[in-house]
Amino acid sequence: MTDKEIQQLIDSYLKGTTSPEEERLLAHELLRHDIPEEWKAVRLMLGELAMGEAEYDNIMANRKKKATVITLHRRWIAAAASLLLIIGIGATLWWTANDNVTTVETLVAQAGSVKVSQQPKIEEMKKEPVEMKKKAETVDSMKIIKEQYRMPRPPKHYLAQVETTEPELMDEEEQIERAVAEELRQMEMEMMAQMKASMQSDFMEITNEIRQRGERVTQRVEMALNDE
Amino acid sequence: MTRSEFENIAQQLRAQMLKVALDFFDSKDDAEDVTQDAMLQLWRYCEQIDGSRNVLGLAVRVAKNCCVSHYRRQRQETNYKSQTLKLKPPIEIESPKDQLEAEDTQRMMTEVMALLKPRERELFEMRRVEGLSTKQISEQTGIPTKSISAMVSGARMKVFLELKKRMKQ
Repeated sequence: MTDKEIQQLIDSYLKGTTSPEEERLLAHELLRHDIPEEWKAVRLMLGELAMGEAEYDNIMANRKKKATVITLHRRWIAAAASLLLIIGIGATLWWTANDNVTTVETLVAQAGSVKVSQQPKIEEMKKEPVEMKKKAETVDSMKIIKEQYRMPRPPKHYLAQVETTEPELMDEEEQIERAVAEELRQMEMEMMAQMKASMQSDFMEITNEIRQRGERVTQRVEMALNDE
Repeated sequence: MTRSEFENIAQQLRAQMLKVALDFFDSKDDAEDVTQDAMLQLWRYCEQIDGSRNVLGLAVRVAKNCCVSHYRRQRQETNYKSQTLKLKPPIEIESPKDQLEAEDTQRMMTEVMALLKPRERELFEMRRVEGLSTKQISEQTGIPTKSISAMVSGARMKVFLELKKRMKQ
């Protein structure tokens, strides 16, 4: 409110034509410290009750304003955080899915090439029993696949535990399957931890898709191995 | 209003004042303290209150004033603690000089009001203390609204000119 408007309100007040609401507004405007002497007289006339009420309304209005600002800030922060989370999860999913496909495709290709590269050796081993030859090929290609799927090694103090808990005479194929399943499960667990309850249904769909994809890949690996 | 009349509506007034205080303070204890203080003030002046008027409206105004006073006291305590810890105070503390000035102006206002005719003073106070509109005053007193506006205007002008004169001295 400008000084001119306040003066007009004071004139109306002195004429006795102001409403109680206008007088409340006037009291609110006269709460300022830097007012002329004449206005101080009007403030005195309005009385302690009116001035106290104006101050009460003023404090309440300021609190509401602050609360609105805080709420707005919170909303922006929440929106930004959600956006970052979605982008993060999306990027992780995209990267993981692409990485899985590429890795497995490479594996399948390598498995094939191994077969070809092993050809001279097989020729040399013509005299050896067929079963022995097949076993040798399988072991070699398994070594390559194992190289590709090698998980980051745990710290040494964990190593002993891991080695003792795993059965020593585990089938090689089973080990690969387990490794793939374990990787997928860990990925699922990590992402689940990041997800909010509201996003879990969407996430479950994506996870199922990835799991199915992983299973298809595992099947392809198995088929490639069986072909050998 | 007699003390027994006040006691009859005390519960209703208290509930309304507590609502005002609870809106203002987060702490229920503070709200209860303020309500108690406001009830005490109304009790002290109840014999000067016209029971036929808007007592509830007056109670709300008194409660709001008590809230602000309590709030100021809390802020002053915070200031005192800040000063003790040599921190910058969040608000300026009212100095004893300011307090004396406030008391002087209040005394001056009482003296000026005494210059008004009884009817003028009554209408002036109805607007000032109870915050009634011209129409509400007309309904309660039976005086036509135009006459009320003229009398209130006359009373206000008298008070204003007298205050101006005294403030210049």
